[in-house]
Amino acid sequence: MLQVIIACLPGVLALTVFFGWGTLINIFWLSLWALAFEALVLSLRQKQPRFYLKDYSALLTAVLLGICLPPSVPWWLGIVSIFFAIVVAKHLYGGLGQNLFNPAMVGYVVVLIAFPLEMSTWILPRGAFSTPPDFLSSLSFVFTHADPGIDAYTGATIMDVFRNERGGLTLAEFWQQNSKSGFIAGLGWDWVNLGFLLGGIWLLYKGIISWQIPVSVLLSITILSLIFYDNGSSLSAGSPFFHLFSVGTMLGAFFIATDPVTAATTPKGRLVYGALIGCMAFIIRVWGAYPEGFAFAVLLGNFAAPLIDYYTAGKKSHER
Amino acid sequence: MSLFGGIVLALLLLALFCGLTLAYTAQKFSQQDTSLVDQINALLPQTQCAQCSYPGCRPYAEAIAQGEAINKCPPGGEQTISLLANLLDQEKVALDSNYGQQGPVKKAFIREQDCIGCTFCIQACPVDAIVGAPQQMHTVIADECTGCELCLPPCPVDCIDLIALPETELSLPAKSLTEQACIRCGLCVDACPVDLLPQQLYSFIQGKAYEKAASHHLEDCIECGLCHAVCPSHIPLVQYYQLGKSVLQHQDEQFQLAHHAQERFQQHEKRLARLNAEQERQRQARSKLAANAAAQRELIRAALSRARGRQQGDQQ
Repeated sequence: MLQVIIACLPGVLALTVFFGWGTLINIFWLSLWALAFEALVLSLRQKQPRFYLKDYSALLTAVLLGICLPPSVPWWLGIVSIFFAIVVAKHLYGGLGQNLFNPAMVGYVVVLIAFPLEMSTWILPRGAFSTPPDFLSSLSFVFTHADPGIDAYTGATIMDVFRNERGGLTLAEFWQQNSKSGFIAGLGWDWVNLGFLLGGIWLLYKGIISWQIPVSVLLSITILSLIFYDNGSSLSAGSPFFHLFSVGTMLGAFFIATDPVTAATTPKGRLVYGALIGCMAFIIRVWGAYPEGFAFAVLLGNFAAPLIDYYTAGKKSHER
Repeated sequence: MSLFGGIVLALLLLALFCGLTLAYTAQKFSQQDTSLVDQINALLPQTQCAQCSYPGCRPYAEAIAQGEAINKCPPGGEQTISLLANLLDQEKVALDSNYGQQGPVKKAFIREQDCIGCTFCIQACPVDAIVGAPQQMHTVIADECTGCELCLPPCPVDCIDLIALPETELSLPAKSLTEQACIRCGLCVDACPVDLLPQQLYSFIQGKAYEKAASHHLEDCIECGLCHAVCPSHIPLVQYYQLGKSVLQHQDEQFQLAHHAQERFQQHEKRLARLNAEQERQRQARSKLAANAAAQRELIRAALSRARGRQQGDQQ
């Protein structure tokens, strides 16, 4: 799991370059609390915290959650989120390996539903009329909410903006009018996704994750976005490039959906599981009201994973 | 294509897909229409011991279907009660101790030097497992005996013993020093050459959900040991699968035995019915014969009295 954390580095670097120090602050703040909660629950369960903390699973949850949370969230929101991830989603279900749902995504969804305002404002990317806040003002915003200038840095993500503008503008007009367009998708987001893609490919190369889940997630998103591309009209759901390289696609496909504990485990089942997550993520992000559909899609996939496994396991599975 | 058209097309395709899936599953998973009594009867141990106060397993099954309590079967014990509770969607209850205690499986054994050949036990046996003849020594066919104890009370010389079978002890493998808890990393799934779900099978067997393990194809496991070899928690997975398989085999044998006993009980019932019918037929034939004889005697008596009257007339 240490290698997965290392594989996150390129994406985290891109996030930091474009959206400021918030992501790094999130990661360190959540890691601190994750380790504390993990140690607390382990000692309550009369296990040896020192032994179990060395598996880095709590740390990985904290890193993934820190990446998912907006860089501008206040300090208490992070604690709520990591509490639900580590204590409720993981240890109340029986600890590492026994959890039914991806802990990081449970933590994310809890705060997304409970605190929608904080969760739907992102720092504006570098280059869109602004530069992200420096380290000190990020810190003071996260911990004291004191920086009055923070409103100048924040706004909705490109996915939200896109959804709101849909129906009015053709794709070409949208990207022309919107100052946040990058070279593939949204400004900054394309680099972030390329970073996570790089990390994901390294994980594949090292054999830590298998190819089926990311490939089938990305393929299903590509196919759905091709169907609903609608030749770039004002009702278009966006181009495949936009969907593959904006917000959390690569992170979700390579780092979140591939969690071995909560995913389907048979080779065929992984393909089905990935396709389910890709389709749900696309549907929720295009027609839903949340800033990103991946968290819900992964949790829905977790629901279905045992059933998928049941019908795809065994040599005689084709006879059933 | 407009978005509206796209949505209509997608919904049509979805409806078509759902319809086909429903039709397919309805075909494939249609339940065989067995009556509730048969389903209940299949779960009872078929010892025909009548400890439940009904004269055999099937009558008790019929009573349960009518609403009788499910905890009156001591030979079946906890397992039968939980199976019945599952089938009938009832709460599990403890065995009613008024009807006996659950014990180990026993077999009847006749001390042959003491047997006087009275045939009372032969008549009491519900599965015809005792052979013998009047004034001849009797003996129990051990394979057919269900241990119902019904032959004990009729024996006038108390020459029948019940001997408990040695039980095979099936327990989970002992934890080794290097063994850790399963973290469901899935390495074993990648290693399994027959595409099973070793981590699922392990957790089912650990939780004694053997039927679940069977439905996840435990019997396909070839016990190659690759899952154990790759397991980072060093869990002796193959030992768990062997345990699961032997438990399932044991359950299967029990089921076969119960089925066999049920068949023998049905044969026994049929034979009794046939004997009764035969006796009834003979009795009716005898009474008919007797009625005929009486009628003839009446005729003779009438003829005699007429002859006697005629003689008296002649004399006068």
